[in-house]
Amino acid sequence: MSEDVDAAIRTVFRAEWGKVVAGLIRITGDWALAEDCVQDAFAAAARRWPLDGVPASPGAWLTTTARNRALDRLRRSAVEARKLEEVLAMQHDPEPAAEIEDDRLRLVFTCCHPALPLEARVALTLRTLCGLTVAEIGRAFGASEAAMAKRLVRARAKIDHAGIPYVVPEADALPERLTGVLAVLYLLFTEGYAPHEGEEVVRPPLSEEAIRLTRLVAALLPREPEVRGLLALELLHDARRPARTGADGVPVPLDEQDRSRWDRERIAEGSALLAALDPASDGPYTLQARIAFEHDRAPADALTDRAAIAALYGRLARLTPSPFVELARAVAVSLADGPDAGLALLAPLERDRRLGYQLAATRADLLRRAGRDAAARAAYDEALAAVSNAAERAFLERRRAELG
Amino acid sequence: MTVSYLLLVRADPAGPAPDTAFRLHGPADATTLRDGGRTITDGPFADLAEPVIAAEVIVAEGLDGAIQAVTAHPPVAEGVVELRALLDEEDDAPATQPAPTGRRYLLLHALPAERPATRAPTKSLPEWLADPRVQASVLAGARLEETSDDTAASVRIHDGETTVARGDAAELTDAIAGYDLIAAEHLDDAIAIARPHPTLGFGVIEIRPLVWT
Repeated sequence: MSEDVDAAIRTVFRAEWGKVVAGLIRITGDWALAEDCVQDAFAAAARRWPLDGVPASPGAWLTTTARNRALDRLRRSAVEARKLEEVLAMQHDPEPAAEIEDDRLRLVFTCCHPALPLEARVALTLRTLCGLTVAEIGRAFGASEAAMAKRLVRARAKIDHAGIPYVVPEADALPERLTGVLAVLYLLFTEGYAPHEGEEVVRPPLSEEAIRLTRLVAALLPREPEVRGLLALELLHDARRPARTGADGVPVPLDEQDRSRWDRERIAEGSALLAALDPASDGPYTLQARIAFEHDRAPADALTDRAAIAALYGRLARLTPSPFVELARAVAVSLADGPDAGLALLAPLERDRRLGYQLAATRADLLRRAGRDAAARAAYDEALAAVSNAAERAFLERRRAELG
Repeated sequence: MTVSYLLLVRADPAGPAPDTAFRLHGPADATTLRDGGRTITDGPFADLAEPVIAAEVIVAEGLDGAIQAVTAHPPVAEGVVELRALLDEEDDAPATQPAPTGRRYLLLHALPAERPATRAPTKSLPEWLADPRVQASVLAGARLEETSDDTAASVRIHDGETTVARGDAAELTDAIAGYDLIAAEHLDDAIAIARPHPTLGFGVIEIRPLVWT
C-alpha cells in the first residue's frame, strides 16, 4: 500500500512540479521562494498521503499547500507585504487551465533566456521545470552542489536585476527565442545521452527529462514544426539507447549494434512525427531527425539507404553551412558514392582550422577505404600529431597499425 | 564654453555605492547585443577588472572644468572616472517624456576601431528616433565626441589621491560612441527598443539595468 503511495508521489512529482512552480512564480515573482515552497509541499505530501490517501486532485492539493506555505513565509517578512496582498488576492480565484499551461511556457522561455549564461539556462531549466535537486544537477554536470547552488542564485539574481520577463516572447521575437529554447533542450538531451558512472540510477537519465520537456513545448506550441522535429530527433536517437553500450560498458558503434534491441515504439513515434511534417519547411533538427530515421528503419547496417542520407546532409549543409556539417556530409557521400567522392568534398575544407584533427582523421579513413595506404598512413600521422583525446588517439593508432 | 560630459564610474561592483545620479547593477547583470541585434549574450561587451558601475551627465566649462568637478568631489573612494564630451547636437530625447513607470536601462553604444566592409541591416538614426516605441522610451541620449586631449580624460582615485590623464588614456571608453537612457517594462522590451539602432550595423550595445526603485 505504502509502495503504491510512493509510486503515486513520484508520478505526481514528475507531472506536477513544473506546473506548480510556474504558477507560484507568476504570483510571487520570487523564484527561490516558489521552489522552496513547492519542495515543502511535496515533503508534506510524502508525510500526509500515506496516512490520508492520495487526494483526488493531487495537483490542486500541491498548489494550495505550496501557496499557503508561501503566504506563511511572506507574512513573517514585513517587506514582502505587497507580494502578500497579491497572493491573497489570488487565493480564491480559480485559474483557467489555459493560464496554467501559459505559466509553464513562460517558465520555459525565461529559463532559456539568451541573457543568461548557457550553463545557467540548463541548470535553471532542470531545477524549476523538472524539479531536480541542486545536488542532482551538480552530479549531472560534474560540479559540486555548492558551485551549482551559486550558479542558480546568480541566475535568479540576474532575472531580478536585469528584469528578464516572465512572458512568452512577442510574435516577431518568438522564432529566434524558440531556437534558443530548442538549443537548451537539445543540450540537455545530448548531456543525458552519456550515461553517468558510479551513480545508482534513482531517476531516469537527463535524456528522459529532455524528451519530456520537448513533448511539453511541442504540445504548448503546436504550430512550430521544429519543436516536433527535435522531439523526433530525440526519440529516434534514444531508441538506440538499449544497444549503445555493451555488457562491459564500452560504447558500441552504430554499424555493430544489435538492432533487435532498439526501441520500436520510439522509432514508430519518431517516424509518425516526421511523416506529419512538410519536408519543404524542414529546419536543422528535423533534417537530423530524418537522417536518424534512415538509420533506424534499416533492418541491417548494410541495407541503410546511403543515398538518402547523403542527400539529407546536402540539405542540412545548405540550411546551416558549417565545416562540421560539411565534414559529416563528406563521410555520408563517401558511403553512398565511394571514398573518392567523399575526398573531393574534403578538399575545400583543408584550410579550415576549426576542424582540428578530425579533418585529417576523416581523410585518413577515406584514403584507407580507397586502398591508398601510403597516403592514408601520412594522414593518420597528421591526425595523431593533433589529437588530444585519449580514446580517439587509441582508435587512430589502432587503424594506423592495421595499415602496417 | 559650456559643454556636457558623460561621466562613467569604473570601480569594484562590491564596493560602496558611488555618489552619482545613476547607479548600475553589476557587470554580471549586463546583456550585450551584437550582429544587428540577432545575437544576445550574457555580460558586458568588454571584461574589465574595474567595470562601469555608475554614470552621470554633467555640464562644465570645458574639459578642465569637468576634471575639476570630479577631483573636487570624487564619486568613489577607489576607482576611475572617465569623462567624455557629448557631441553638441540636438538631444536624442523626444520633447514629451515617457511616464515614470517600469524599469530604467542604460544603453552603451560601442564601435570597433576598424569598420567592417559589410554591415547588418538596421534603421537609420532618424528612422530609429521616429519609431513610436523609441519615442515612448528614450529619456536621454547623445553621441560622444571622438577622443582627444580636449574631449576625453580619465581621473583615477586611489588612497585619497587623484591622477588625471587626458585624451586616449581610457582603456575602454574610447570604444563607447554614445549612450541612451531608456524606460522599459522589462529586458525584452529594452532589447526590442535597442535592436533596430544603427549602432548594431557594425557595433555592439550593452544593456545595463539601473538600480531603480
